[in-house]
Amino acid sequence: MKAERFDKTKKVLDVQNLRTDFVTDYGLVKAVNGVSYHVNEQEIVAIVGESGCGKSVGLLSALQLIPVPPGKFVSGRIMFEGRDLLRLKQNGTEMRSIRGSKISMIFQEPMSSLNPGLTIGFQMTEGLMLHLKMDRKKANKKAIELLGRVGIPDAEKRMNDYAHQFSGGMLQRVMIAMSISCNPKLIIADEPTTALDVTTQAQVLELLCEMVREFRASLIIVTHNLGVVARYAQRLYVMYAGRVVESGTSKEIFSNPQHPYTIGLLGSIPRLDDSDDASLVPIKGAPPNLIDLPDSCAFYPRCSHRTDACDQSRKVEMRHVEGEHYAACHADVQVKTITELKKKDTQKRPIDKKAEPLVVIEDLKMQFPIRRGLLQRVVGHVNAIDGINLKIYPGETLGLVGESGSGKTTLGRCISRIYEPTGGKIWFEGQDIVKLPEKKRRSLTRKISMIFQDPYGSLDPRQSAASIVGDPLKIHGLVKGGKEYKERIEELFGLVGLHPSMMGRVPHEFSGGQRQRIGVARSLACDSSLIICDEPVSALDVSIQAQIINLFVELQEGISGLTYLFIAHDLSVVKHISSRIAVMYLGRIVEVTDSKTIYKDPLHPYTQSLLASIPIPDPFIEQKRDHSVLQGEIPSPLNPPAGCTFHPRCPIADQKCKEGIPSLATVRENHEVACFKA
Amino acid sequence: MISTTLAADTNEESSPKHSRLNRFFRVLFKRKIVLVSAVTVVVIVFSAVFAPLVAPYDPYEPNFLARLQKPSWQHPLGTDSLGRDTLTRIIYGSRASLQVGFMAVFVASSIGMVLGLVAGYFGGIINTIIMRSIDALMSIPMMVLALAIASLLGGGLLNVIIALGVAMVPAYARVVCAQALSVKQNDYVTAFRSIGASHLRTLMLRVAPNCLPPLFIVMTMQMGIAILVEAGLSFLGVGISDPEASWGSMVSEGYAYLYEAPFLSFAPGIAIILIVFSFNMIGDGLRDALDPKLRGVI
Repeated sequence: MKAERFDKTKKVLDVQNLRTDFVTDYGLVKAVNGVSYHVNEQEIVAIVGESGCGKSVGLLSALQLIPVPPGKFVSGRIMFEGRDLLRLKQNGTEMRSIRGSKISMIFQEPMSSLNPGLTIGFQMTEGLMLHLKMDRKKANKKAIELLGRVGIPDAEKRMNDYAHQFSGGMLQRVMIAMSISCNPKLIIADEPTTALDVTTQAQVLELLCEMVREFRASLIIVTHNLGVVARYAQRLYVMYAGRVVESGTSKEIFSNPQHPYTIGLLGSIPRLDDSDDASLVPIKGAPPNLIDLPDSCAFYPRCSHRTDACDQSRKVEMRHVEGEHYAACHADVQVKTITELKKKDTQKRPIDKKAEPLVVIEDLKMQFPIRRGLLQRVVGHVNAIDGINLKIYPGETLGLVGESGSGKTTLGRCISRIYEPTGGKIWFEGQDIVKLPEKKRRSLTRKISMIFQDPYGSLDPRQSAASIVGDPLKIHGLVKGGKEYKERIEELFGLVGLHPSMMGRVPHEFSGGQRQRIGVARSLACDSSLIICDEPVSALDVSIQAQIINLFVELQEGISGLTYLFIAHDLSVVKHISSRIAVMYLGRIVEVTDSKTIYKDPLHPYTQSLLASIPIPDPFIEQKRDHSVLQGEIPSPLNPPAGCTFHPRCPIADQKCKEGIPSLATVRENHEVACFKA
Repeated sequence: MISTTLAADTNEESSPKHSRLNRFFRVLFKRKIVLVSAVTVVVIVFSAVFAPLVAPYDPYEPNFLARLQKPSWQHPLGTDSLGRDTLTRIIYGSRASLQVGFMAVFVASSIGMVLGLVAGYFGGIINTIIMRSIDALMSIPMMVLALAIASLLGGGLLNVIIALGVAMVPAYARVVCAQALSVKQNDYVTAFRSIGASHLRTLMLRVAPNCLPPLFIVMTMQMGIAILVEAGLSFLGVGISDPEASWGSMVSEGYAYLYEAPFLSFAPGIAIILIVFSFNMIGDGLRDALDPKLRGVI
């Protein structure tokens, strides 16, 4: 860090032994259970943990933003500017003068944290007029200045726009402008980029950190993304089940994790720089229910380092490791490095490149009509997919990446024939399934199945797990009689690691990870040869995500010829699971190659910037990396740029790129790129 | 890894269906008024079914010696202009009222559900045609529409049911259509399509069942309204007429003797209020109990 004239050890916010409970019908939830943390001046601190571990509640408590009841501040002190914030009245003048002014917040969903019925300008000036006592004119001027500062083009005009007229990334910029508007001492960002694309995430985080530096504020980032922590945070707190289990500087924790949970988290996440033979080491089980939790170590049931001493001792105290590094664990866990931990004995099965491709996509096009007016006349078309050529080989995993809006999901849905493509051919097992009449197609397409992103939305809440898994069997009449049906379902349950005794349960009685397992079982029911996985792990927590990724890998090892089309926006997950990767941008494929090459030697500038925007969870590596982020946002497919659609954002584009459309060309063996410069 | 997760998955075993039903009733009857309403409805339904056993007198036999009597031990709610026991006639009248209530709602919800499902699921031009027709129907006040249909078909229980059944279709069609529009967006519907299910199958097995909860609420609410409108029709003389008893027609008959024997109108009137209120309260309770946000909590 640059040496600046400020007192590094002066604490801006000092939370001591905070406890926040929630009284529910089912018992007492100790959401935050004796948590202490502090933020020094001009410091960036991260709080990490899976969902439901009390990260947000711990921070919202600091601002007394927890509704009381059901919430209850049981004990603790929150020292800010020499005062204990917990002693202030929840909605008194003093507390309100701190909120939004001296301590400001940025939330996860920019769309829902801004009022849709008021202009951005009005909401920007509100705080300025209230806290800084500006008049409207002055506040307007200041707001325009701030919006310009955070990179909103045409700030003056956009003051009169409403939230829905901005993109998610732009809204988060507005939120940042708003949060710095009153010169806060501390900014709390609660998962500020979770809802955004990787490229936008990088843009927003860079901006946020720049602003924090410029305005000499401190920043607390709440996140589950360890890469973000490694790239930006100086210190971090790892939380589990309402407690801080490990704290220290990023470098201390990443280089020498002490708590088994931290070790588990680091082992669970795929990294861009993982070697080819790496496999994930997930934490077994699921996070505990916070109701009536015992005072002993909450991680005990999932811990792989537990000893007899763990269970009996009443409370786990924070143990000093070194420097600022503390861990709440009895055992002095000495682990191998995470890289060693992730090492796997078996090699990925080599893909038989000479084999006939399972799917051949030729010049596929998908247009969605835009209808307007009373008569619903077609006034234009969105080219969601604009001429795609792709081959998928049996037994491989083809990763499909790109920002949202690039047409990944549409491509998947065209192949599974949920959408009717408007042009081109899809050859599957020697037949063109675009042209085939529906009757003939059904017996063929049953071998193509899908797994969806949302484990909550993709299962019918009214059906039992067994009947969800059995649906494909019934529809295609694949089993004779009830006995065979039951056996087959039991077999499928076993395959995905669910106990057959849970067959009668309905989806909401399963956890997120278990639900996704049901989805996987359903997709396997028809002996599918191709499974289209549409963001299958992005809605899951880190440790659960690793379990599901490993399930995918194990299934492919066990079932010969099982092929995945793995759609995701997270390049590190895709890189981990895929043998080949196709990068999409605005309805076209810009680069296809095997996953090792794409990380080591990406040729398309879009692939390069995608890779650069993904942080690697290791502060030492992050220090050395180039953090130049891809500017701008993906254009609307309604009105794509002429020539190479990427040229407006491309750092190396020239006149030729503005005029011609580069086609996907083989530059070397197994490496195709659509770029004039490659 | 599979084996370890398996172990973690099996440690909690319970009978989920059972506890879910328990939860449902606990939320439903959490407010005492809902419980009281449910008991009221059960009592009224019971007495309607077993009217000959419960009622103290014959509902049709005139007794000119006991005309327009005040409430007494022999006639707890007095007698009407022909000397028939009011309590007995209210009990028998509940048969007509309840039949109209249940049957009209059944007819209306069946038609409305089919129309709403088709409109919502297929969307586009089909939606436009169906829903705009429903809007047209809705622009006529329900009472007027029912009155028109009933006077066209003539009086009598069956015709009142048909009239009300048709007049109440729009409410169901709109609720189901809106619900179908949102349900069909769900991934589990797409998932069902993606494994090769036909449109009809998807509509029947996935979309329809998930459109039901709000429909139940509308049904209980409309039950009260149906009884009310039937009372109105009978009051106006196009519904059920003497000697058949219905609460509406009884209010209408008593109207002529409002000063001499106020109970003649008041008693069936109170009965109407009671059952309409009860159905509304049950509807309220159902809305709470079926709230998806409350579902899946633990």
